[in-house]
Amino acid sequence: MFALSVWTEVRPGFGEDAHPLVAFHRAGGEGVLAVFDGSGGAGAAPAWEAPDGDTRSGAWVGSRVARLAVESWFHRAVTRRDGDSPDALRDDLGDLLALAPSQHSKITGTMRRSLPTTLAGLRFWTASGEIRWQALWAGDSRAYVLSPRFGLQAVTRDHTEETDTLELLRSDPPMTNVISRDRPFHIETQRMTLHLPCVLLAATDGFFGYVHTPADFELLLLDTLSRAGDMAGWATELHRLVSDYSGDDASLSLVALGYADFEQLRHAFMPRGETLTAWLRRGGRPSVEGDAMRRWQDRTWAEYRGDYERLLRSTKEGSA
Amino acid sequence: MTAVHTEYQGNLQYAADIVLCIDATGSMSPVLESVKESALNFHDRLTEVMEKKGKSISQLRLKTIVFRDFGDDPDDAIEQTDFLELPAQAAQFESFLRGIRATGGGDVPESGLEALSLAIKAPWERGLDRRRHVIVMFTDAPAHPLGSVGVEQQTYPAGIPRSYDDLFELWGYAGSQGAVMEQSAKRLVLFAPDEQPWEDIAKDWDLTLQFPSKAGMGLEEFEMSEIIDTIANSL
Repeated sequence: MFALSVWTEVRPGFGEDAHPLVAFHRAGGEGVLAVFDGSGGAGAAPAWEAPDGDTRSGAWVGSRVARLAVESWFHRAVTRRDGDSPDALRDDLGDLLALAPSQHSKITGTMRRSLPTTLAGLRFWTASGEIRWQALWAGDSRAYVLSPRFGLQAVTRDHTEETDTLELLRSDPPMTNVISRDRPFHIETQRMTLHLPCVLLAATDGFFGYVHTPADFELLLLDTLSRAGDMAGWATELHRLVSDYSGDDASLSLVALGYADFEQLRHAFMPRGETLTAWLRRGGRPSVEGDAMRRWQDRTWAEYRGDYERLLRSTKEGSA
Repeated sequence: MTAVHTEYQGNLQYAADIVLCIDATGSMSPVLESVKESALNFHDRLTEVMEKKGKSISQLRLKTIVFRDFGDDPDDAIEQTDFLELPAQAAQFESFLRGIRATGGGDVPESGLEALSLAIKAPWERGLDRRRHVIVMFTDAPAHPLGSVGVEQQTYPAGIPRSYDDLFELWGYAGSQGAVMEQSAKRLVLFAPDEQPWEDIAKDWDLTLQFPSKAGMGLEEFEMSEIIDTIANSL
């Protein structure tokens, strides 16, 4: 297994994404990857004064606490073989958030949350040339499967009223379900089995929410992979580029399973990357926002969404 | 493949429409000048706060609705501007704000719900991406129930809902059919006392933020920078 994680923050020291989580239990052949995006609007109120005297927001605290909860939930699941259900994870999140620091805020209202954060993750098990995975999420961070044949395939659907991925890029709507200390929330889950080799990843909207069209996120992944010499190099390239184009804190965790070495992984995705690059450039990408850009976005999304959403459809059947 | 990272960058800009509903009755006198000054600096301050968040404004339009009390003096109970684009129409915006005087109102309650109704029915931007439609209510008083005061007056605005429930329908909720506000864009920021109807609105309507103020005491306990931050965070 190869793994990488990428984490950036817009305002140094105050990034509201937690560090992405990647953990693997070799004896059991199972692992977890996850990302956490503290919700800056709903959780803007100060929650904790750090030893350096700086105050961190509820969003900052919430994402860190959620990361701790998922890591301890996974640890318990692999060591004690109990309490590994999504409901148990929700309870763990609730218990830890209740213990976390939080200051009373004079701001009230239905937008406000105490320690709000998203979670998107994948728990996975490998055996006999197959991988079983279970997506777990709350909010608008996402988990994906990346394959040479079908490209980037979402396995989570944002908890927003709008569900069209391109419209989500255009409107950046509020979430309808988010982890927090003071409001009920749920952890949604999907399960599936796929053949190895396989790439799994999770990312916050700092990666996929500031591009022109959903296919651009896959292009970013494959473009950087094609130019990397190893996993560390891939992570470095992703970090450099996302820092350049994103308007938000960004985090991503990724595992590649079933590949003999990095070169085999890189080589496996070369044809897909070249096809994607050529397709996105065909007809010309508009350089400025406007009607031409909207038409280009509509066209590229209409052609791309079939494969992008195929696992969202087929999870009902349980395999693909 | 070659590096094409400049092509990745999508739209980082937000189109913000903000309606300021300002209670200009006598009790607001101590804070009204501060509200006005903050509104005049709104474009620069909001741009600065958004830049710190790594975001920017593609278009900022402000509409101001001044309200008092139809039960006290129907002739000056509502004054309003169209949406004014800043900074291009800053002079027009400033001229209107400078003319606001805190006066009248008589006893509480005031006509805040009529102002909120007009704000909800404003001609919001519908074309640009990443739209935000923000209503900001500044008041230190409870509001008359809709349909109870001033309805028969010639100056009473047309099209105002006749009940709280009808107003709630216009604001909308997830899956509602009768809403005039866009669910993904709307926000309601209340600098208002924990009295009716503001307490219920803050609690029951979606996408609200409330800074509770003390009834009849103006809003002096709040720093305007905090208010600007709250509005920026609500985007």
